[in-house]
Amino acid sequence: MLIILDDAVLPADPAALSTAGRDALENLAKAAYEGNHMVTGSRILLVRLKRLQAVLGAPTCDRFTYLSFQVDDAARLRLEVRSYVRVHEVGHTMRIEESPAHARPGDAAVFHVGLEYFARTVRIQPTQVIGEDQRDANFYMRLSRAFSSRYAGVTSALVPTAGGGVNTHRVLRAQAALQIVLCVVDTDQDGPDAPPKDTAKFAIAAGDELRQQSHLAEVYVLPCRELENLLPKALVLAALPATGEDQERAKVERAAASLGRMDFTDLKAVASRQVLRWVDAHLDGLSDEALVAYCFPPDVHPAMNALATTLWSFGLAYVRGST
Amino acid sequence: MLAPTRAWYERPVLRSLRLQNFRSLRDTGDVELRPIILLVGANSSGKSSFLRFFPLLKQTAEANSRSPLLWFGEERGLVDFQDFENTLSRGATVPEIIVSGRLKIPLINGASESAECQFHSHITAEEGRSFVRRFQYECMDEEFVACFASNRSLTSLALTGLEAVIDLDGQVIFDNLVPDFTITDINLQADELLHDRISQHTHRATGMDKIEDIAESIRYGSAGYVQQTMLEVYGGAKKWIENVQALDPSDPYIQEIKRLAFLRALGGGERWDPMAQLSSALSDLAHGVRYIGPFRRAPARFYRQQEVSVDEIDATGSNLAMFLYSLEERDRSAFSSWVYEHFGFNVRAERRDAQVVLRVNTGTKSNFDLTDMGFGISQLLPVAPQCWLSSQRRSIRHRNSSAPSLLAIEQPELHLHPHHQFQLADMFMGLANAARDTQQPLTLCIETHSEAMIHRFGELVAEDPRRREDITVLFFEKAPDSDTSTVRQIQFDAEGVLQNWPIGFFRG
Repeated sequence: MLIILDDAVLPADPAALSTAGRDALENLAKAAYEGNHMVTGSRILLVRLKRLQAVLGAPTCDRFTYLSFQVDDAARLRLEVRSYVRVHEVGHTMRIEESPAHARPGDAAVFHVGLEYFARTVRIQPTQVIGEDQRDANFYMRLSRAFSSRYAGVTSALVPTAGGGVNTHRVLRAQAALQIVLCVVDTDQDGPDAPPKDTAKFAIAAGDELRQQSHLAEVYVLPCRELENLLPKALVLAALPATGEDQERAKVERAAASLGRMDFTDLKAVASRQVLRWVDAHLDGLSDEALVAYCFPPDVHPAMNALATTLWSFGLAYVRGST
Repeated sequence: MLAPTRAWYERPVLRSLRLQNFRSLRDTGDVELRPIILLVGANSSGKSSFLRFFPLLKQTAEANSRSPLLWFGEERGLVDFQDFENTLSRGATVPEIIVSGRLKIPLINGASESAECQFHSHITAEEGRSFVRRFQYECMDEEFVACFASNRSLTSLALTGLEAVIDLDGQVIFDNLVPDFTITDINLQADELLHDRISQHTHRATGMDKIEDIAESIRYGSAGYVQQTMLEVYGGAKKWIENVQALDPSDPYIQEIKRLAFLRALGGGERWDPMAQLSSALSDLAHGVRYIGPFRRAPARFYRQQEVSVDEIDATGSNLAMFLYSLEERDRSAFSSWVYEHFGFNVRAERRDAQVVLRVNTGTKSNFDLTDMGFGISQLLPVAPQCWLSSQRRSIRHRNSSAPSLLAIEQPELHLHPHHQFQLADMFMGLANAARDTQQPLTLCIETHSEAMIHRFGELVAEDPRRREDITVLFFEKAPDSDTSTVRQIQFDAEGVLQNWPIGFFRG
């Protein structure tokens, strides 16, 4: 995730930096250097930090030197992400600045936290992406990585975690207490006006609670019935055996001229479960390049783009050793 | 080109440059000549083409050539573009290389006015000879387009808003990119038209002598100033004065008189000559160019001593030893201290037998021959004297310290550790600061692949946001599936962050 250090994280007199503040700066520098997150700040702050050997120690200062070379890239990326973290001085009250529209470059949800939030090493581990099952979570991780290939020198460091269907909210609560978490759930809705089913309902409630408890947690509800509805038709058709499955092929073709627009259709009901198994197997064998070609064509489905941008924003990190 | 004659603060100075159809550069856009221009981009994206336009200008001016541009120089040539055809962009829709620029020029009139001007010189070639086919010039509200045949005869001249037809006769002299109309009789034709227009607002009985007096008093400038000069006539022109006083400066009549005064100036009929001003600006820039190319001569243990004075370092730094040796002792010491201050070592040229050796000291008690030092120092050394010369407020050798300077340097960071690259950026910024403080026109045009230098410039801007005005980054990018390149201007913001920087450019 993009983590922006405010100038205020470092007091005018660096000796006044608390132990928690010092630990957090060391952790953040290390997190960025190891490729868990992207950490940046103003040039003035980074110049101060990289010269602060007496307080932070040489290894941390070297890491801030490394980060200082990424300022221009980070500033540009800030205009692309849908969420980022702004770190303030120790003691700053956590708040979330929502920006659901994402209508203009730079529109983003901003998690404002105090520096001490990162004083625990577990907090600077890569963002966990929780899917309803391991298969979904793996797909989100791969989708994010594929999306990040459009930017040189950066990657997505999401760690996929299985939620467990209707129990996904429990996993979310457990993980959010430790580190940054993005939870993606299906609505399982039968139509656009139908209420979301339990899995989404419980996850949304958990997300709201966790935020009130100052945890960096986000719940992303797919704007369709389930993940399969977002898979491009070309990808599903390519997953079918080359010969002998004309009936299934015809079902898929019939079900929707484009699966990308089949937002609230139960794919399992119109095609057989075998189709989904073939899709899973096909996805497992797909390279990131092929995934990009399937999922991000020029006429990419807006919902797919929104999902990928959100995933990528939470996973954003430097490629380790890129400088 | 015309020799600069006025003091620098009265000099017209080129403010921006634009190249079209020049090598791979289809259109650079208007590039402001700020104190520091950083040229950044992948290999073969057009950076060097842009940078080498400046030494091209210099070799043209120094060869006293009448060609628009001297595509290659002989013995003292700096750059080799071969010829017009080789320099013209492949796939250019019109076979013309267009050199354009903006400049602010003093009008040298009673009101000490100055004006923003712009020129476009369209170069083409026939039978292997290049010439300016079309020349366009804009100054305040005046704009004219002149077209020429390959033998430099004027084929048309159109001044916007002027309905009268100008008789064209004979050839025009060219000062490289700029035509000189003073050998034509355009000024006489302008005078005739002025007399005709003046007589429309004078009394019927006003004699030709008085009309000529009025025409004589008129000077080009802003509309208000032209109107003022129209009234500077004494005795016997009461009706004229009443009529002119009743007009607003924006009146079409005043505008027409202004236009004719401009035409007269173009033909050399006023103290102010717009083409001479432009020529002077380009000549000043050309003579002030110093160029360091991408290949530097490896250091030698000995250099043969020559009893010659060396005015400046050549493009490869091969005459570095002779340059340093030919400095007066005071300048040698000053240079040595300056290098030490910026890079932590000093260098001196010393005589040994009948030869000259370059000795380096890194602050210890021992001196070393340059050949025994790291290669990076020898590659940095040709850059240092060029910069040092620009930093001097007094004249050294034959260099006029008040003339505009443009240092065109390809990859100053060659073989340097990032720490020294930081120091280079500091030194360049220091030069720009000093030039700004003394209002000396200085441009450092630097082609670089150094992330460290660009990063350091960002830090320097963050320390003092005023510096962002001094730096432009030109980002060159090859257009996909094409031989052409695009140029994007990128600025630092007040926090020293490059705006719209291509993400991951230095990461590949």
